[in-house]
Amino acid sequence: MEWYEELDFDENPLQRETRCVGNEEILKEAYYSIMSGNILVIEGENGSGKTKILKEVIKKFGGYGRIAYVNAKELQKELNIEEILAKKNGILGWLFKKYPKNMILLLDDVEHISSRNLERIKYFFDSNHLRSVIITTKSYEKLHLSESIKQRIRKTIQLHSLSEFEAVQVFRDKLGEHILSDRVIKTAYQLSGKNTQKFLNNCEHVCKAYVANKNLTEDDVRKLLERGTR
Amino acid sequence: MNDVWFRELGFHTNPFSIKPAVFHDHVIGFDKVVDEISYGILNNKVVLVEGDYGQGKSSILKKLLNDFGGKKQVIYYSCNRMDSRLNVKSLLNGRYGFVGQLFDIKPKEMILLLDEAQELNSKDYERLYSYYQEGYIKSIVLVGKGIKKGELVPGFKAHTEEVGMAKMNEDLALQVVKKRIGDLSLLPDMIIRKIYQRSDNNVRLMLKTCEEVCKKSVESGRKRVTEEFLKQFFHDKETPAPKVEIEKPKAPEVKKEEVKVEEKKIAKTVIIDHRKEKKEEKVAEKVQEEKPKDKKEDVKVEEKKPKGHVYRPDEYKSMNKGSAEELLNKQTDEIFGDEQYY
Repeated sequence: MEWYEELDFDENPLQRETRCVGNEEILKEAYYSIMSGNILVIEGENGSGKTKILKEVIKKFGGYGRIAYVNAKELQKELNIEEILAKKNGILGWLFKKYPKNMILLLDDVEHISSRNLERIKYFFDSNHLRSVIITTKSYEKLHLSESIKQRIRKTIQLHSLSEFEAVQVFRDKLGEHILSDRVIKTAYQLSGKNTQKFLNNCEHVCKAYVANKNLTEDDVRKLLERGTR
Repeated sequence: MNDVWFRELGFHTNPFSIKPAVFHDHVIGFDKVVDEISYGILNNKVVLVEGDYGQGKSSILKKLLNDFGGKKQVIYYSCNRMDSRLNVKSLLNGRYGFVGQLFDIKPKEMILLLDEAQELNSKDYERLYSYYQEGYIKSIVLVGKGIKKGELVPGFKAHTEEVGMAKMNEDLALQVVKKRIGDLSLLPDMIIRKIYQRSDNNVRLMLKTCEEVCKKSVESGRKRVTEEFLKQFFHDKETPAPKVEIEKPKAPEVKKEEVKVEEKKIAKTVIIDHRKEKKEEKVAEKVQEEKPKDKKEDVKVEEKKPKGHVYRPDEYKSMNKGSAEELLNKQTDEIFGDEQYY
């Protein structure tokens, strides 16, 4: 029997999609950037919710075949914006180089964009094939953007890691009000180095321990997680 | 999502979009440059146009496309899309579509407009020159920042004509903004000038700043951007401290009157109360400057039918066929595809 079945969940609640906590301002900024047709760069550390924001954007604007989401990490070969756009219209579009109009390009987790791709983005953006571009990256400086593209970027915003209170909110959203005390969750969050992804992974360990021992204290969590990291 | 600032002001799309040539029928401030280039094209010359970022190079090219297009005689190509070298042959073949590619049919007397020409190197120029000599290409316009003139083929140089682009002055920049938004009461002329001064004479930067200012002011619920607000805005921008929302109370009416007296230097403004919205009216005569209050009564009677936010003086009427909104809704890309033939 899985640990979550003990807690009356049918599926693993930690993998459940929930609302975006803590970064509402940035989400608003992203929506606005798309509405007004601008380029936006989101900077944030691993696990600070970059992909989450893009997912929310897809939820909001998806469904019209207007969004191209590319995760740079999962690409086998080099990124080619031109191909991505051309393939949007199917094989015929690719053959005859018909590009769609008013697309929204979401580039996730980009470490490096070649200057060629930047120029392509610039061209497609200028000619209105791309309505709006959102790029998420770990560090803006390392992208080495050229001056002309920098001028086109409306804003770069930084994602901050969640506060402890928000981390508790995230947890409560997923697992409900009655499991674990707030203090225990906060300790778990601190021990995960304020990294949301790591925090959720650790939560699973904590929950398993909780199933075995309903009166889990902060010290127990500390011991458990410190052992886990070693 | 209708709560975006420009929707609230009655625009469908963002009026300060930085994409080039939302209005491709008229390029403000570069009439002379366009004339010179057109002359060069008609005389089968190679025209070099150089300009800084965000000055309107691409906008000028699109204007040229609009002028010369229609007879499938113009090729527009942005050089930043090429893979490593410019493929003139396929550009020319493309005129006749798939069949042209198959049988290698090339048209004659084409006009080639090359955007971002700084990417070209001597090999490309050599190839261009050979096509130019054979008469396939009648005239070439090269546009870019920092074109490598040293790599031009000597043969080319005899036919080359250089056109420089001067920086826009304030009045023209004002016109650019006015053309996009009409006579919006939110942004007085004075403020637009101020913004332009602070954006290094870069039109694109100015548009971006205008957008930010409008967004912020609409979100904080003001009907009009004051100088204080602008100062605060730039101050915030330069010191991006931890974001603290500065909720300034709306400036009282009396204060606004004072500010306006300063503004009189450039644009004479009279406030009129119309449906509790402050409307702005440009008064041409300088004499009225002394007694704005008296004028206020007069205008109130005359002005009864302005609709929405867009008030158009006669000068703008002649420029546009429709309102600014209609023009904005007309997408540029209805006309510009990728390599299209005009």
